[in-house]
Amino acid sequence: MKKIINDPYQVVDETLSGILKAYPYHLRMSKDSSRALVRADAPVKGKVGICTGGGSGHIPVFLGYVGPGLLDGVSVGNVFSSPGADDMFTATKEVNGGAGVLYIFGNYSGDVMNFEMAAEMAGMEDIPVQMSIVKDDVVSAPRSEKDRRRGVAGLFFAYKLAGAKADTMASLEEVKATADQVIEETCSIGVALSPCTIPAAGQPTFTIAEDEMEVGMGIHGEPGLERTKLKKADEIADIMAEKVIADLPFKSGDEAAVLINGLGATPPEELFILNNRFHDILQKHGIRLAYSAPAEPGVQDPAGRPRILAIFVAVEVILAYACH
Amino acid sequence: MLATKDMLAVLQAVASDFESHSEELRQLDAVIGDGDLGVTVGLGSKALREYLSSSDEDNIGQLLAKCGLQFNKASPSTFGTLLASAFMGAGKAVTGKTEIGTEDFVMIADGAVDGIKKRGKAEVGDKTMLDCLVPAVEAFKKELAGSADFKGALQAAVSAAEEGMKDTAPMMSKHGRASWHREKTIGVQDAGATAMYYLIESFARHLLSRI
Repeated sequence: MKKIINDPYQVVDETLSGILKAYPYHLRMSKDSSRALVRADAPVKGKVGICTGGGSGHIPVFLGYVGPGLLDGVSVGNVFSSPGADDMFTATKEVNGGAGVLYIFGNYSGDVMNFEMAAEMAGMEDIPVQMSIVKDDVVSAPRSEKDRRRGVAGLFFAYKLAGAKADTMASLEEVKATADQVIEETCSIGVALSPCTIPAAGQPTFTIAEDEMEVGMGIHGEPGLERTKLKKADEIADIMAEKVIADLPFKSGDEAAVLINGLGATPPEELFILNNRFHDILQKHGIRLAYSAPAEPGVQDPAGRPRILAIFVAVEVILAYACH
Repeated sequence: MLATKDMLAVLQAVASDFESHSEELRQLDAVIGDGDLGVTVGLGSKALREYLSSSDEDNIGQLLAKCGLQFNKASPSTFGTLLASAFMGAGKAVTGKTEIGTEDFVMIADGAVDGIKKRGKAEVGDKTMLDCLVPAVEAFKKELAGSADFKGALQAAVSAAEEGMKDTAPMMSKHGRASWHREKTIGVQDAGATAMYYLIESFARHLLSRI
């Protein structure tokens, strides 16, 4: 895999540095850590602060969603590794506007442990903290064991809706309730076409033949359900939609939002082709497509991993709230 | 009794010992994990040494808790985070104390176990560092409740830790990246438990040389 980098061990810090130069009016580095970024005007007085965080290698997740109407702070780990609790705590302190802080992040053991530790540190300084852990990957565990599911692109909807809720000056409990409801009603599935390469490792994380696809693989290369010959777009959409719709308690007349993302590798054109089929499938089930975002910022991967993610989520009006 | 400055010296010696095992632990972890344990131990120990060389902390509770934070900051991997939780649990158990005795060591040991269990949600038998630490703490408490003195109890703890570490070999991993390999983990001694053994052995050895 060809990469435009200088030093594989400087990839994260050089990326952050470039981002801060590109968006100086949106983002700033925290006072105490180069791995904790907050929105330029943080803290917003009286508003619940929302922090996220996770390993690098998924831009625009996580830091791309920091801004008005969305999130207030983010902590940044090495590629595919959790940030440290200390950086999370630094971000927490800087976004706390007096109404407490909500952590929204994906369900991975390293992230969970570090956010829990950060919450304890915040507790010692009397900053109220709550957590909403995104667990939307439908194939990573059965619904009865939802707490074991990985968090993937469902983050997008949790950020969006909780961010809008927080802007209404709702309480920490109310913002958390909004995030938790989104998490409960969001479901996603991935299809992998080729592997990613972690810069410091230099080698692809796994191999997959040119004519194969793997259904259900995780965004770091976690094993999926099955590997088959590459199918046509409509067939792939059918497989994805079937798993997602069966998992959510949809009934005719419901509304759904769909996010289809190529992880920075599958081109937008191909995502729009998939969108046709998702639209038809939902119509067949009597579900109205209220929001559909092929190629919308979701989970993109500079490590170069072609993937397709489909998400279905029950929609609330708040989705139309402006954010930056 | 052990004063803060003695605890600091013991921890410094432990950090140096631990760092020297990083390559060996990397190799062991690469068998069924992702091999990052060596990096974790190397970076974490170095951060610990640097913090301790300039620390002017006057109470043992804070000293232990800060050691945890420093280790995790340098190395927020699963092992780094769990070890930090152990240090923070241990520190919380002796908050504000500038001198500690036998009973405090029991509280430190229990605090470390609680810290790991609460954070990692693992139990004994899951093939983790707990399979080394928990038998060691149990042996320590059992010997103290019997007729053994502090020294005897520490020695019993080290023996139990070693046995616990070896007993992880036939177990199957249920947590972390290793658990993806399931049956393939049987027969391989757990890298986390091995790292924990090195810590316990080193801590006991340097403690004995100071009391």
